[in-house]
Amino acid sequence: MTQKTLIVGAGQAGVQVAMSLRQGGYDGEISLVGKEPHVPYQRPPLSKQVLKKEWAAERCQLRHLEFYQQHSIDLMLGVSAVAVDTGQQRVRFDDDSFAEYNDLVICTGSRLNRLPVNGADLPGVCYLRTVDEALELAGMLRSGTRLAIIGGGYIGLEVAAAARALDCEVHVIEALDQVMKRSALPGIASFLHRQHEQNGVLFHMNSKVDQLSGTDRVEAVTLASGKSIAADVVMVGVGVRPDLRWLDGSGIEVQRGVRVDAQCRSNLAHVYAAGDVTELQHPVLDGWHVLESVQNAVSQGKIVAAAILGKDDQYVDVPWFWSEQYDSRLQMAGIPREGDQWVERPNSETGGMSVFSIQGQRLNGVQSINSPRDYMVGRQLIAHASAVTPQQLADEHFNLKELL
Amino acid sequence: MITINVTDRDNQTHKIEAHPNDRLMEVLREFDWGVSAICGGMCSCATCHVFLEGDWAEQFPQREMDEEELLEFLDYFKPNSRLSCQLELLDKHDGLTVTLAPEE
Repeated sequence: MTQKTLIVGAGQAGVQVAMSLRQGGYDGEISLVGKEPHVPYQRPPLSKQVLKKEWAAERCQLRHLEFYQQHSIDLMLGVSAVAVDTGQQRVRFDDDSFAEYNDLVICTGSRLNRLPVNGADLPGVCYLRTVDEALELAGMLRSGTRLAIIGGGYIGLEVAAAARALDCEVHVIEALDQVMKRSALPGIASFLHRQHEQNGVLFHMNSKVDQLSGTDRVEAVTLASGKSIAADVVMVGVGVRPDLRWLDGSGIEVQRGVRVDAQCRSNLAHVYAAGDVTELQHPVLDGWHVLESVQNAVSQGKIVAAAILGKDDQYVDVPWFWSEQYDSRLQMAGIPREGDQWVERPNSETGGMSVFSIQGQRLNGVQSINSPRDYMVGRQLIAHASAVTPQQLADEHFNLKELL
Repeated sequence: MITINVTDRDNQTHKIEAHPNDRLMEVLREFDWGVSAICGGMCSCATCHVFLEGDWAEQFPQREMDEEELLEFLDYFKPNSRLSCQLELLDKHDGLTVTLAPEE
């Protein structure tokens, strides 16, 4: 009987699993199930090129539609999985249809956190995760539009930069005392904060949102302090969490995400997971991690395919991320740890900088702005667990290559 | 349409077609043997590394600093290395010959 792999979730991870299976010679059936009606696409350009109207949405497609036909990958678009029966090995969808599988791959990614305040459902309040949402937001932004962004994380700041490029009036409302606090080191966060201010973004730090108000559509954001910010459009970027509800009662072990080992296997045989939806063990990092990144989706997608093909590839890639805001390219590798020492390294050539996060002689993370050399060396130093000193890292004239 | 000659990582050669104004990376990632191009063309990941054969390097603008700095740290860096996301194809590139760099 023909084998069948059912991949639920058609984002970066799901598409990678399908492609890598075919590249590896898998001759069974492959079904790739996507919640959205669109040909699978990459999300990073949505908050950048698509919002700035530099790219048509089609340019974000990961592969053309013909690619899936040529590779006998059955695209099932516009359907969501609602339950899985791991005993019967079948998945139920929201249109009440079923699909059976020999191997199941969970790639459902994340879902948006919603803003739990009054007025959050008014017209003019947007989120940004899908291409439809990006196009909707892009359609509302023009010169002079007053945009209030709730949440100073990656999405919030990338949207702020794009909206300034479109000459909108931009406010960023952040609950904490630092932008990008969850992922960026303080030196990097303050560099980007300053750059946004220089580009005319108005920040409201340590500010909780009390409510959104307006008659027919949103007109203002009221902060807990009582201050009111007039807005034509509100963009909410307050994080995501793994999309796990459909796995309730399945027996698949879930904590913050679907728990997988370094081969992307869940606790059940024939059930794998890849991408944002996972909580993973990584040989280079201690403990369990939820890594929301393209790199992680691609790396895990390849490992899942290898596992289904009977190989035992392990996750060894050092995690990396990137962002773009104005003319700053942020590149990050590794994961800083609790108790790390932060070492800043200026870059007088580009005006950028890097921050290294070290413990003793061990480098745990590097975050660079317009300093790709620091980033590339840092990534290799982390991978090889090479010894470093703060003096070497801080000295712009010390050639980091000597450490490799 | 222009034609590009590509040698893949298994030393197989392919003749492929491209539209002028495509980025070379966008053409190469369509194939099973192609590049992974994880960052989607942002010059951030160096996973679309190719070698330009013969004199073809002269037919493209020189590397910008960011591309240069990513490339020089790759294990397989050579003088004719380029990130294919930074190469815009034009009519004059008909017959371009490239080799895919090994995966890092």
